[in-house]
Amino acid sequence: MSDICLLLEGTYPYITGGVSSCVHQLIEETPHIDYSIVYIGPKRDTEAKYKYKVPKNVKIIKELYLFEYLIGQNYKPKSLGLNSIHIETLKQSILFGQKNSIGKLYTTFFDPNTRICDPEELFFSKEVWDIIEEEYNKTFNNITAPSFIDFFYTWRFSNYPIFKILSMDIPKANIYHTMCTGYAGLLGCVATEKFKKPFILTEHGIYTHERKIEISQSQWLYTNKNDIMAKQQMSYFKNWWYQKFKILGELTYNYSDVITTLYNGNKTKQIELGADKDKIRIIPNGINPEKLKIHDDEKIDDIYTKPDGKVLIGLVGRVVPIKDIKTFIKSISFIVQNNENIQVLIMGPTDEDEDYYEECLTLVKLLNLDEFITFTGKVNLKYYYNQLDVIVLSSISEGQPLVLLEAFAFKIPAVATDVGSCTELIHGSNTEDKAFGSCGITIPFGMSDKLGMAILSLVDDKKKRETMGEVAYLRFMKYYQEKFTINNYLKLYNKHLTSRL
Amino acid sequence: MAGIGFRLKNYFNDGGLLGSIQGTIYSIIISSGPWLISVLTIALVSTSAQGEVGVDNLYIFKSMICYSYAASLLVFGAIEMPMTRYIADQLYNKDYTTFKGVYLYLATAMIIFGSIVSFIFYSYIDILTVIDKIFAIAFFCSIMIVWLSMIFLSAAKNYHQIIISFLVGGFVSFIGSILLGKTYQLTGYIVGYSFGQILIAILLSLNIFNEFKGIDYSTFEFTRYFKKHSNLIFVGLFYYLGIWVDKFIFWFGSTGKQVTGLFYTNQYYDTAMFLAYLSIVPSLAIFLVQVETNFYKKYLFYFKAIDRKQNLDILNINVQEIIDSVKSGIYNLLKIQIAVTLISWYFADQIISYLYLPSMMVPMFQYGLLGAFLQVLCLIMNIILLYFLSHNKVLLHYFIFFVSNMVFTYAITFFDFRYQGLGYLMSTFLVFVLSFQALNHKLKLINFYTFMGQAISEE
Repeated sequence: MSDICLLLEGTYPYITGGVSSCVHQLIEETPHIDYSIVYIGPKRDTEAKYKYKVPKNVKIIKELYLFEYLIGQNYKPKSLGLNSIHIETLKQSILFGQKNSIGKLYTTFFDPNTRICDPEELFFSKEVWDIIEEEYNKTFNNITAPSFIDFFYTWRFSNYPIFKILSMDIPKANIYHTMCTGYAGLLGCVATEKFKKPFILTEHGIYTHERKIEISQSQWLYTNKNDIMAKQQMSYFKNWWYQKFKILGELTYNYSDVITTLYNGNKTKQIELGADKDKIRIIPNGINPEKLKIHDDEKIDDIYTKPDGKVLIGLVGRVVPIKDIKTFIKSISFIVQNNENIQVLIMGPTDEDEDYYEECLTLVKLLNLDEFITFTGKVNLKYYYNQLDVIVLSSISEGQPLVLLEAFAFKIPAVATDVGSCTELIHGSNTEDKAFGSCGITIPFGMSDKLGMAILSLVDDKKKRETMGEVAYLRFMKYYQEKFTINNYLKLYNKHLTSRL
Repeated sequence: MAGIGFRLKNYFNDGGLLGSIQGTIYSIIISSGPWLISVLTIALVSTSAQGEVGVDNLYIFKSMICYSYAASLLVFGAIEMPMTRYIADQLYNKDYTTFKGVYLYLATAMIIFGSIVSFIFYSYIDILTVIDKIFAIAFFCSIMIVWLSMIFLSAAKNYHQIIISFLVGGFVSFIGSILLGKTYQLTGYIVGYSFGQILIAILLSLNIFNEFKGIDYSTFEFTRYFKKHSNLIFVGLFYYLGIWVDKFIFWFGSTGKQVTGLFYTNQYYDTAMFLAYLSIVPSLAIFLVQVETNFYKKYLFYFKAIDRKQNLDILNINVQEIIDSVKSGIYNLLKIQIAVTLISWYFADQIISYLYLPSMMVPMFQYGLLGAFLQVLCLIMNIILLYFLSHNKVLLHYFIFFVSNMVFTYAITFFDFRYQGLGYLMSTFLVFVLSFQALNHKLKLINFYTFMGQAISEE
């Protein structure tokens, strides 16, 4: 039995990103703790490889794929002869959009020791069908009723992953720690029901919000714009999915003993979504500048040297729409009209959305910025930070971006959109923090002229850059060191280990 | 299966009493035509042969025909449904190019199989001459070809040709056996009769080659259908085994009579059952038009409605229409079949004596009438169950039909002749009850089975 079981949905160790880095850091810095990991992914990808060197204190990695359809081939639909109490349990469960505790549902239908039927048989049962039919008839009248086959498949596909989660054989551990709500959160709830162990939720981004954006942007089934009915139905099914994720969120908030998030803005959102505010702690990200130091034995060739006399502007991030690289490119065009004495590096993998990357390249060409902008691809940032004069973040959405923290450690002032925790990072999160002053400029996202002006104000003013750089460093030293973060989590772990022992 | 049914529906829709009568006659001809023509030919040939060849030879002649039909129908039963699926799928894809190739492969396989089996069989019947045996083997192979071609021709447009083929072949059989029989006795009858049947096989094969354009000999995809629908092989097999098993018992049991070698017969039971089967000819005709076309149309509408994303109310209306079409189809059939069966049952004495048959056949004829009545209902209900993919249910029903008919009929042989035929009736009644329950259950829950029956898979 491991000490901590980390429940990771679509992140570590297969996918890189903020959460994954944070998890990796946590595991690496606490070698005395044994971890087990449950990785939850959409579909198995046999080509996929670990993106991190998983430390030795990870004892088990279990993988669960939500949309891996193995069931159904041998299951004939049939009646299971459930009694009215069992049926009521089903009706009052998350399977039919209710946010009641999952305890009864789990013990009746899923826990291998107590369940009354096979979960897969249940999925194909007459009883479940009857409830689906009843719900449909209850929800709609003759005129508003949407396509039944869509209703049916929406039910199936939105509940299939839940069946998978509820049927999973969870590794035993002393504490369950999920890095998001959603399916991983639900798995944590199941673990709590089953093993009665402490359950910690850490949310970097707010899962329910992210799904909401995804759902509203997705193009579904009905594309005929003239069909008003179809549009209403579309919003019905979109809302269905959103409600499902919202319930998953609420369940996780209710079941978790403590909730942590990165910054105040997120805390507010969590409370709005039903989290108990007394459970919420802020544990910001932290970084260890030692890891970004260039050692003497490293090859000097790798280290980037900026052209003499130029101001070096850097954007660190994947070249994908959410980072809004295009707005950044346009802002450079604005700067160049006023000050040509700059060089721009866009540092991050370009292969995640190749179409978008191509569009960015075209835009650079169109605006005649070839001599100013370089896409470096994925690089080792430590060879660049000490050369950067300004760091830019043009993202549409962010959590608590590690790049800003890293830049702060190198005394680099920042220009960032006022999303996620950027405002708190740049201007301070509380009175004490604010007293340090600002270590950069925030602007609304998607406005290339404002972004350009902000960057230009730093490009043109060396003194301002230096002042802000000092503030950045002080803020980093005070709040955003890796050891603080790790200590915070350790304290949390220790507290919950002893409290239940 | 629905190909000819739809065409027949046009005769009914064209209106007028004349059109309606024409349609009914056509559907009788299509559903039972080949069978009726064959039976009529046998009857005519037998009657005329009676004076020429003597009773013993006539038994041999009849046994040869009867055994051939029984054995070929078992083979037909095994391939019918998987092949029908294959042809239906090809028709749906509008790809007829493989038909000729597949037909040739299967026909060749059947000729080889049929020759070997009947060669071995006839080697135990010493009384037949070499020529007799050669033509008997050819006869067996040709009726297997006839069944095979009927599967393909169910997808054909010009079914007049099919009837003409049977009429021509039947006529040639009749004339041939009478002419040759006069001079060559039994051999003449076998040769003449076989000649007409071989002609039918050839004519039907030609029909297939004219009907389907394009040719592709390279496909063996049809073999997949036997693997994929292996349960359907047994559905057909057990159905025909069920139909024949009571006859087998009466042939080989204490009531039977050895003709020569392996040829056994039970003249009275066979004749009584044959007359009883005649009574369901109208039912089969009505079923072909009413149920298969009306029902099939509603069945398609239902799946189209799902596909077109209709709401549950509309789906339920569609389900109700399916149920109504099945009900009214069966109801229309019952109206006629009950009349036919009851009248025949009531006048059984008169019918039997009118045909110069012994009065001991009356009870078995009466049991046969009721049994055949139930059997036609079972057939219809199980065909509908097959539409709803209850393959295993239907397999179970037909298996029970086979086993119960065997057990009940065997038990009946211990009683006197007045109970003969009761085994068959009890068996059909049992299967009728089971099929009715299964269909009733299925129709009530069409939505449930259609939706929940969908597997969750990558596709």
